[in-house]
Order: sequence, then structure tokens, then C-alpha cells
Amino acid sequence: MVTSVHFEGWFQARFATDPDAYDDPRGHGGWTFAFAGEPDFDRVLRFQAPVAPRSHGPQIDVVVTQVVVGGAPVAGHPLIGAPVVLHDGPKFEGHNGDIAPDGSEPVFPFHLVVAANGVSLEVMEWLRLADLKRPVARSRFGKGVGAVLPADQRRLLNGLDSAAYLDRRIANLRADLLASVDPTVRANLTNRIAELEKGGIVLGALGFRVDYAFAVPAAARAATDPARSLGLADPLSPAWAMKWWMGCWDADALSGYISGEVKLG
Amino acid sequence: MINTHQELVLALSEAAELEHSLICQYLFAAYSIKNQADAIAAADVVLFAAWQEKILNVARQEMGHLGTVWNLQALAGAAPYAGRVNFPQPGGRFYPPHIDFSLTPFSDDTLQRFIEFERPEHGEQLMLAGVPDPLDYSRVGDLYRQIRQAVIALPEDALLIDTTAVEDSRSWSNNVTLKTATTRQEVIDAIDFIIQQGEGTPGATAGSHFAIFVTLKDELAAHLNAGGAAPGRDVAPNPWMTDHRDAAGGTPLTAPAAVEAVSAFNLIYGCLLQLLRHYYAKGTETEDQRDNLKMASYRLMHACLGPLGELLTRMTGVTENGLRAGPSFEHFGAEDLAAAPRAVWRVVASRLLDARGSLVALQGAGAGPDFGSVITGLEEALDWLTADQPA
Repeated sequence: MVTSVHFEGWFQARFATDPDAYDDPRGHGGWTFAFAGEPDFDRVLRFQAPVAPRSHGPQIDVVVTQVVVGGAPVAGHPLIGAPVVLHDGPKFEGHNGDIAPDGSEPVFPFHLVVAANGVSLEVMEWLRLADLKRPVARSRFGKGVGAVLPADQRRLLNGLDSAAYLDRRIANLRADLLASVDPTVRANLTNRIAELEKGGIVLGALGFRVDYAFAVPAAARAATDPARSLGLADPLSPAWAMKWWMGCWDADALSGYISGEVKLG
Repeated sequence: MINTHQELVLALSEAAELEHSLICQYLFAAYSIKNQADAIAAADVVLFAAWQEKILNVARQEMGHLGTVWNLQALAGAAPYAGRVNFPQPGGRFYPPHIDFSLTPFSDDTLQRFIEFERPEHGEQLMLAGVPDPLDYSRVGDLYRQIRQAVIALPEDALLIDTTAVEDSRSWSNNVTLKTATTRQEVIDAIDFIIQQGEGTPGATAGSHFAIFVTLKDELAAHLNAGGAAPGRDVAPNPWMTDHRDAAGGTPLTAPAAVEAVSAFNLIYGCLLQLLRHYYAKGTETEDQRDNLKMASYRLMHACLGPLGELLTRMTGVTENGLRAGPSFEHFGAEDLAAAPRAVWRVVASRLLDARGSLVALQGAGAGPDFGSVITGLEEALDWLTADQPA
């Protein structure tokens, strides 16, 4: 018996980009910036409750979309719609290539919880930060920068191509700018528009995709399923694996899309 | 004149101390600049952030210079020199240049001192007689030109002592360049790189530290003449926790919370210097352990000292005359830990735990700004230091 809990949605991650230092708090020479009125970057991946979300960006919310038990989707499964939560402030730990090259940055710490209606799955971090430079952590690395599938991209960009998606954002921000008198808001919008109009990597990043896949050690798992909705007598006994892709990076909104699964068995 | 191996090593130590002192002064000024935490206009937030980044970038390049000098010391068979006298040092009192070495907040006067540090001097060099000659120089570039002359003149067996010494060319940050050398020409190239980044070349100073500070001074004057807000916080000049016999004056900190927070800063700063000295010396650590040393050092710089330095300048009313705190970069005497990696790693880890304890206590008492990110940074540094300690 194999059970898969599928999840997807937009996430937020506010971080500086090359050639800035990975932990630059504002962004200076790269292509992402903390603009006027916004707090410093903290690099944290957020699946819910974004910090200082930018106007006209995607709605941040990663949730369970489907539960498949023994190859069959379970309609009305208690976990469907449950928020997928990452605890403990996870970050892309690439450290400008010191730990991992672009597109391979491991998400650390990885502490994922899915819980609703008395059913829960939890993956706890089993590595320490210093392990990330050791072979034991290699499976946690991303598989490099690839391209998001065209069908996924159209769906996620509301049926638009990348250029049209950015043009629409620019038009919305210009309208906001015309209506705004607050100097901080105006400075923020002006900077956002200027960065979007550059195109370049901001346009290209909407087509990025990075894949992740790794096994979860037994000691790092926890589960609650008294009614056996997951189809397993003991959900901790089979092998667990995490698999997802992240991409369609919206540099203006500091957001990306994630689609993946927790697989039991 | 530098014409012996001993004089070369002493001159390189002087250069290391100068770079080190400049870094502290540049960082202090940068951390004192107001930001979104202050009640200032949105346009000023952007403008001041740009000024701060320019100074921080110069400081990063000076860190590259310091690493380069330590590489040249290794080549010359010397240990990396991380010593420094405390602030303030009136011009000519300790260092030959007649420019004050002082921790002062961002201002026109501060920028003028920075300009003087980096001012180009492309004329003939002062030549002194006698052995061993005392070092005499008027600017940073002047000292490097004397070292360059010595590198050209010295026999190779007085210059290239240990070409197998562990040298650091690793990237510490995308904005930091370190030069390595194993030949006379490479040493000259490394020194030329430092001189040019500081003062530019004759007739072309654009992009040099000198030009950056001149531009900043002009921009600050224009801003203030237009009625703009003062960009620097009212930070105490040369703040100290305790009087130092090697310094001339300063501003004592009187608020216990500020003393505790500055003490944590100095503890972390001292630990960083111990780690860097060890990293640049030819130690017995494995490559993986050296990597961990670097990762820990980086976290101490970026996640601890940088944010904490800025947070200190948000602590108000901590001196008798109501000024703010600041990173004091205090030394408390010569402290050379044993050369054995086992000792250094453990002592540093223990002290970082102490610093963490102080900040956690301050945080718990609600005394001062939010130190949470600094505490996290310390924990990350400790993780790198304790994962694979030398036996």
C-alpha cells in the first residue's frame, strides 16, 4: 500500500540575489531588494502568513490538494485543504556556493507539519547545520535549475506568458502609483516598477524550476491517524519520502510555487 | 626604509593593523547611519541606505586587503597579525599618520578623516636611513609603497620563505577579493591591487576608496544644505566599557544593559579574531575543519557582529550625556591562545556560548532591541564550530 499526500501553492522567501552576499539584509547589486517601508530580508521560506506581502502578488498559501491511497484519490479526505506548515525558519542554505551551487540549495531546517481533523504527518529535521557540507546531506540538495513545464507556467500565471504577466503587474503598480500620495508607498512602487521594467532575469526566473527528492529517516517521522484514513495500520512503518518542485519564481513578489508530495510506502 | 626580512614582516604587521583599524572605523560609521527604524522620510531611508552600503562595501574590500596581507605574511614565514591598539588614537600619537584613529558616527568630519586615510600620494617616497628603521609613513598607500619597494629589492630568500603556506583565496563574499602570491611578481601585483583599490592610480581615482568617500562627502553636504535630516545617530564617540591604558579618552558607557550588550559584541569580536588568526596560520586542521572555521567566522561577521553593531546604536541614553551605544571593538590586552587547534576551537566555542547567554538574558529582560537574529547567528556559528572539532 502506498499513500501520497499531495500539496501545492505559492510560498514567500525574501532574500538577496547574486552578486550580493546570500544574507544581505536589503539587496544591493542583485535583482531582489527590500524596498522602502519593508523590513530586512530574513530568507525564511513561508508557506503561510507572509511578511510584508507585496501588492498584486500571488496569494501565499500551501495546502494539501489531494490524498491518494493505494492509487486511488480519496474524495473528502480529512487532510484535503489542510495547511502545509514549515516550522523553525527554514532557508535556502546555499551560502553563495559555499554549501551548494545555485539551484541546489537545501531547505534547512526542514520541519514540515500537515494536520487537520485529527490526522497529522510530521517530518522533523534530522541534520544539523554543519552537516550540510558533508555527504550525509547530499540527498537534500536540489537537482539544479531546470525549466518549469509550459502547461504549469500558463496555469500559474493565470493563462499569460511571462512577459504579459509582468506587463500586467507593471500596469497595476502604475495605477497604484497614480493613486498614492504616501511618499514611502510611492518610493516602494517606483522601485518595484523600475525593477520589473528591466525584464532580464526577473522575466526569466518565472520559468525556473528546481526539483528535490529525499528519503525521510524513521527517527524523523511522526504521525497521527486513529481512523486509518491513510490506509495504513501503522503510518510510521513504511518508508517515507519527500518529493517536490519549486519554481515559477516571481522576483517582484518574492514568491514562488511549490508542488510536491509526502509519500508513505 | 624596509630592507631586511624583519623589517618586511614588521611592515606587513603594521599594514595588517592599519587595515584592521580602518575596518573598525568604517563599520562604526556605517552602523550609526539612520534607517527605517528611525523616524525619517522615505526618501532618506533610501538615500541613507545607499550611503551605508557604500561604506560597508569599502569595509568589505578592506577585509580583502587584510586577508591579502595575512597571505603575504604567511609567504614571508610570519604569523597573521591581528593586534590593534584601542580607540581613540589622536593623530601621530601611535600611528605615524597625523590623522585621528577614532570611532565616530557618520558625519562630514568623519568622512573627512576617511578621505585623509585614503588620499593618494603618487610622489616620491620617503627614504629613511638606519637599521632597523622605524616605520614612517603619511597615508595608507604610502606604507604599501614602501613595502612594494622592499619586495622589489629584497633577495628571494628574505621574501619567499614558505611558498607552501596555507593561503586563502576562497571567496568570503561576492564583494571581497583576496590575492595570493608565491612569486615576487605576484606579491607586487597583490600590493598594487590594494593601493589601487584604496587610492586609485595616478590621474584615475574613480572607484577607489578615496573617490567614494569624496563623493559621499559632497552628497552629504548637498543633502544638509537642502535642509535634509542628519543621517547619523547620536552615537557616543569611542564608547568603552572600561578604560584602556593604550587609548586616549573615549566615552564610558554607564547603562548596565548597554555594557552587557557591548560586552557580548566584544566577546564575539575577540572570538572572530582568534578564529581568523588560526585560519590564516598554517594549522593542522583537515580541509573540512578549515571549511567549518570559515563558515563559523562568516556567520560571526554577517549574522552577529554586523547586526549587533547596528542594534547597539539603537540603545539610547547609555552615557552620562545621554548618547547612544555603539560597537567599541575593545581589546583587553595581549591574549595568544595555544597554537593547538583543540584549544582554540574549544575556548572560542565556550566564549560564544557566554555571549549567547548574555544576549538571551538581555532579550528575556526586554532590555534593548530585539537580539533574536544575533542569537540565531551565534547558534549557527557554534554548530559549525562544534560539529567536527579537532581531536
